[in-house]
Amino acid sequence: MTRQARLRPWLLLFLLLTTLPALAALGAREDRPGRFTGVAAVKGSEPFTRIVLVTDNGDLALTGPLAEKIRQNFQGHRVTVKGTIEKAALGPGFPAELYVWEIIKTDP
Amino acid sequence: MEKDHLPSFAGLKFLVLILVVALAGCSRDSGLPDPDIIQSTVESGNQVYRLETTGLTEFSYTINLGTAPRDLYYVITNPGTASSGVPLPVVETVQGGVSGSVRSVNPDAAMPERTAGAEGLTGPGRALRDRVGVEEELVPLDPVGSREISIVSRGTNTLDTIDDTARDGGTIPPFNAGEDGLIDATCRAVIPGVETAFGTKNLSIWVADDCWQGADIKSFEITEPMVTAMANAFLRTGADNDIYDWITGIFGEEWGAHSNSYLIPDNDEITILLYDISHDNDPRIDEDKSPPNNKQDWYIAGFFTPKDNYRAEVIPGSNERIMFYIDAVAFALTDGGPWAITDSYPQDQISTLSHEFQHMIMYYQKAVLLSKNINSDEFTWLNEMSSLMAEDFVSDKLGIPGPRGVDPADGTGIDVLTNGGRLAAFNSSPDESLTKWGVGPAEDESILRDYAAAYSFGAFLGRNYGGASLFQKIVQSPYTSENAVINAIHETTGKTVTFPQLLQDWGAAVLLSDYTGGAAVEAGRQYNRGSWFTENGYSLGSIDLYNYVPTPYYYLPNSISSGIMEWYGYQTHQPTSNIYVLAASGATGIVQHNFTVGDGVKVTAVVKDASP
Repeated sequence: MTRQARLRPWLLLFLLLTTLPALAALGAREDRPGRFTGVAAVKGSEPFTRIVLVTDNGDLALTGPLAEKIRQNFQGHRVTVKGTIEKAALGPGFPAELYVWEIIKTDP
Repeated sequence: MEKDHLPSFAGLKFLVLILVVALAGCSRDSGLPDPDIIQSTVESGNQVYRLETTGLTEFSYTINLGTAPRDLYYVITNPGTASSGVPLPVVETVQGGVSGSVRSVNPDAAMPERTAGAEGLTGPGRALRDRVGVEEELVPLDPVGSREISIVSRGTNTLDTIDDTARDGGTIPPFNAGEDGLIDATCRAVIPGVETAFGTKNLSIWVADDCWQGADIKSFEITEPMVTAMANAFLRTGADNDIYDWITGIFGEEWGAHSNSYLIPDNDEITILLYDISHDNDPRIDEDKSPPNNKQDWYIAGFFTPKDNYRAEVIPGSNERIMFYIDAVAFALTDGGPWAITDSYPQDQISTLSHEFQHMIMYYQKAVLLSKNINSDEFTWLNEMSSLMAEDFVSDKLGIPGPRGVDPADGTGIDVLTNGGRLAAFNSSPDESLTKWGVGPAEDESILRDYAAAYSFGAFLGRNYGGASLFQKIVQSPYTSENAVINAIHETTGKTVTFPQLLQDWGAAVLLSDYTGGAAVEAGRQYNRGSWFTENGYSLGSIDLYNYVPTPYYYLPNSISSGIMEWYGYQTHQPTSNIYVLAASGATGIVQHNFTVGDGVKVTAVVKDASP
């Protein structure tokens, strides 16, 4: 076996190990939870009000069971959540939608 | 006039005595660790003292009420916005005043004690409409029910009834009403080419086919005269004579140029769709309930949704129209005889046109044109407050009671006792949070209280800081929530106020609303001047909250915690809310109370002459 032939499996393994995480990350980017911080507020007019996180980059409309918990208990609080952006923002009245997986921190 | 808490030189000797009494009282009666002492000496007439309690959570307040009998109230304000609130305040009587261990019932009104639960909120009467209403008894409005209003008699609109082929070249896709599904409707009126301050406008009114006369499905059906009356009220030839002119005159144009390619272009057309919102009127479901909602004790009177402002390729459910939705059954509902625009429900629905139109305008002016971030929107409390004020601003013009709930021709505030409008509900729960929205044991009950608080605060702002001009600046502001209000006040009046000060003055204004003047009232705490508040052609009627049933609720010292927990289930002093305490009634001389309050809480002492 030549030296080149001996190296080939290692090279393939190296390439596999280095590129797989990047490929996986690319594919999972939309679903990977992130941390988001903002002030919880109810916005919109009735009967279409929604609980949002007000951030420096605009509002994030919260969804999922924990969104209702935030609406009931944490309006006006600075809230940090772990969540997944499920829908991108469309524009006025339709902010990005953030599915909340976990409430990490709330500060009155 | 606002008073300093420091003693005057004239009363110095007397206050030394007060100080001794206060110190003795604190250590003996309350067990509080050397609370700070604050004193006031009352001059004649009604007085308001904002107590300087910054940084204090325990303090003692002593006041000399003098020799003439006085009532002493405390307004305890939590200016914070965090919904967890702060600890409930404790007020203990040390000397003088009144004391008690149970929640008070205002002796001015023969109302039952509040009960914890839904039935405690509403009295008898017509439905409170808009987002939710209480249908209890569909009795006609009291004195204004028979009053002639001028909507119908004014009109010479061009009113065309058109058939289905007028829409989309003969194919008529139903309207998409979101969760209510697809609505088959027919255009029943077109008002073309009306010149307005914002160019030539066109109105079309569509009616759901199952709500039109002869469909025989709903309890009350829409007829052509009803559509004519609605069209005449909303848009008609001539200047300054319809809801369009009046509401845009305050808040601005409903739709126009913009640079967002996701949104539909300006076409100067407005659509109103009348249908049975929530499909909640179906006699087959529950004949025991009264319309407009046969299933529940509330109904949605109308709504606006910005989805229709988007292109359908962006939001598939968009109707691609500048439009709002009105409940058809409520508009067709009579007070018992033949339908008339003066019937209570139709009047409310006409008022709802103003309400929803403001939402439409705010969306364009604030979210589309002015927002600092295109994905930012206005807070619900301020949006709904502005819509309730839209109704208030046109109440006298339309001849409709509006949220004030009294004869719209009467600007004096001296109406007979009423439980109409939003203020009776406010009086039931004046300690509801202003900015926290839609929270409570029963969401719909809490939203009724939220509306009531929003209108009460808006009515206070409109009557003290520039009326229509103020609200134009609130809506046409890049700021949101409290910042929109205090910036608009500064732009309108040149005054610099803080939001906590506004909340304190709002509370004092509630208590002083049975007075029409005096320095304490005229220093930005005026609901009532005995006549109209008129600014730029818009008039707001005076409000005496003691003319509503019930009158404003208050607590007695030592009863706050148990009272609030019994009624709301709240364990804390709610954000942006005022708690009212009657501390002395017909009292003279020295009165002293010890306070334990949450961080940042403000206390205002309001001294009233014993009788107006």
